[in-house]
Amino acid sequence: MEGVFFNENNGYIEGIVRGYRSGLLTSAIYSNLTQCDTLEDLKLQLSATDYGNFLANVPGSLSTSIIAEKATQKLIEEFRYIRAQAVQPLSKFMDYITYAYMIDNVALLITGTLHERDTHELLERCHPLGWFESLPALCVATNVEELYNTVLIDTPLAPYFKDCLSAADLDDLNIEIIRNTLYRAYLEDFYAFCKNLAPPSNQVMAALLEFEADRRVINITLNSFGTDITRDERLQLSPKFGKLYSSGTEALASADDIEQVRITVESIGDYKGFFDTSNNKSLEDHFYLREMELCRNAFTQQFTYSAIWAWVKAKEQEIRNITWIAECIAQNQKERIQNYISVF
Amino acid sequence: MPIEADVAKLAIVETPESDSPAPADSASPSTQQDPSSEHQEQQSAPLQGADGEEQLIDPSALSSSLDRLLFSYCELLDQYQAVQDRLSCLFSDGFLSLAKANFESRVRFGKDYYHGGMTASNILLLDEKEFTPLYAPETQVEYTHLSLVDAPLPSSPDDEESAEMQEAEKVNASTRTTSTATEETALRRRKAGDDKSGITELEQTDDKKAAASEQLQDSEPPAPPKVRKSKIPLNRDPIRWFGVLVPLSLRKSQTSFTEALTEITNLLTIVNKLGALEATIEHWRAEKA
Repeated sequence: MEGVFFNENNGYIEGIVRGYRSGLLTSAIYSNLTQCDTLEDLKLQLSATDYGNFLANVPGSLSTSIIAEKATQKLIEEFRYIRAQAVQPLSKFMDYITYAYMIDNVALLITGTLHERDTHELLERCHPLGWFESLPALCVATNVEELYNTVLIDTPLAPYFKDCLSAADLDDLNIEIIRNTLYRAYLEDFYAFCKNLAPPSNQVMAALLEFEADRRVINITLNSFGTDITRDERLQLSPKFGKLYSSGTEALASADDIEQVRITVESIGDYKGFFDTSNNKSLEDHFYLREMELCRNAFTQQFTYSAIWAWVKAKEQEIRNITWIAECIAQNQKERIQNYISVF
Repeated sequence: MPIEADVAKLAIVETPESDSPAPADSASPSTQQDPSSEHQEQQSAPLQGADGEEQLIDPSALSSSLDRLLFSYCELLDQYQAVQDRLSCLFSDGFLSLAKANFESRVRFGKDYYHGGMTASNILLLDEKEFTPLYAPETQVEYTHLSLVDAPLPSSPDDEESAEMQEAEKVNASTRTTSTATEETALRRRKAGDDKSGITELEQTDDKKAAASEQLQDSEPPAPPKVRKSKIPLNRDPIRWFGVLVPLSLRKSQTSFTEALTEITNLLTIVNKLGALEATIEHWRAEKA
């Protein structure tokens, strides 16, 4: 019966999203893209897909950054269209998706202020899905408390700041800690929200967000080797849910090398083989492959909000794939061009 | 490439002078035939009697020296090509690693994160030195040597760092006297007393800020701010411009480009040596003519 009530408000949106999902690039199309010799060939191949003439009005010569930017612009337009049709609680769900981009924009602007950059120049580089009205005022803050009290208190990110408020100056280390603390708090809040959704949305989103949390913990651990991040800070940045929580996150916080990380991660059955680097596959490649498999499986469920999350993630992966193929063509590195992730 | 063309030209000119038999080069220009005929006459000089010995020693010794200089030139050219190959590998690895880092990351690592006040991290030094060609140890050739050294760190950031360390120590001392026995695990306020007075002022002005301040007062005691141990200022350390938790691919990319910078200086040094040796060879050929 949940299908009837779901379609009352969300049937049209799910139909649109499933249409977008059917337009995602398949392995056959990727194979054609890898055969291209120049970026103009790539543009020609993409014009036969749902991307159409998205590169038609590009002045000058094509570059990989322009291709990534135009493809992202297409995703943003589609997302905004769906968001405009959504009502509660789907609208809240889609707002949660935008909070991640808000955090990225906040980090970009604070970092730009620290780097003595022109804020107006950086505002144009912010992700449009993470835009909020008080974003331009971020440049005036010199410490975290000012940042919170003058700018972020009226934004959806305000609740996520309660664990990182201090009068500490904003240097690169503190900005990194703030960014990751915000993201952890955001993930935990989103997880709690999804748990209260009607089934099967709650189950599917729980699985997707648990994987996201585990991936963040592993990446933070590996990237923190050789930096000033302490064990306690690693623990502070780890979300309090996921397959690795809590014994796994504590073990990872104490890990000193990649071997200890591997032992901890491979204790989870689903993550066995992630550290296998044969076939030029890195750990991140395994993460993205697992994420795409979860997204593909999410589409098999009907009457669920997780289709929107899965579509957004799949589209972002598609943009990364196209950008990677474009880079390999531009750099004449055809032997590495097959390292994209395709599950459709 | 112009350097290989110069070598071929020199080789064509010098071939008739060598003692070992060499095939006649039909492509050699006619203007070079006269010197070659002269050299042939000089080569026939050893067959003459002892009266021509003084004439015999100079041209053959000169020819031999020129041959050795040419061999040294070829050796340097081989080094040049080897360094060029390494440089192209380093650049391609660097750009590919950068593309990989962009593929693995939510954000694109690019000029959005550059530091507006970036300063040079290396200084290029030019020295006038002499080198000995490999096969002509009796010859000394002057050339311009390029070397890369680390730029000195500015004194003011170090003073700021030491001031920050002293301030952090003072904060540590003050917080230990006021905080409880619980461990400090998160970023805290620097001065608990001052902050609370500031927050009471805010409570009078804004309800939202009052609610937030209540949350803050319920939180754990403040901890001292994090102070970076590294002495290198931010504008001198490019990897930190992209964050602290950067992916391994980005670090690999930086390593490749840093090594490429060293190889560029090696390459230019070899080019200078080639140019200097070429000038020496031309000078000796002019003397011989």
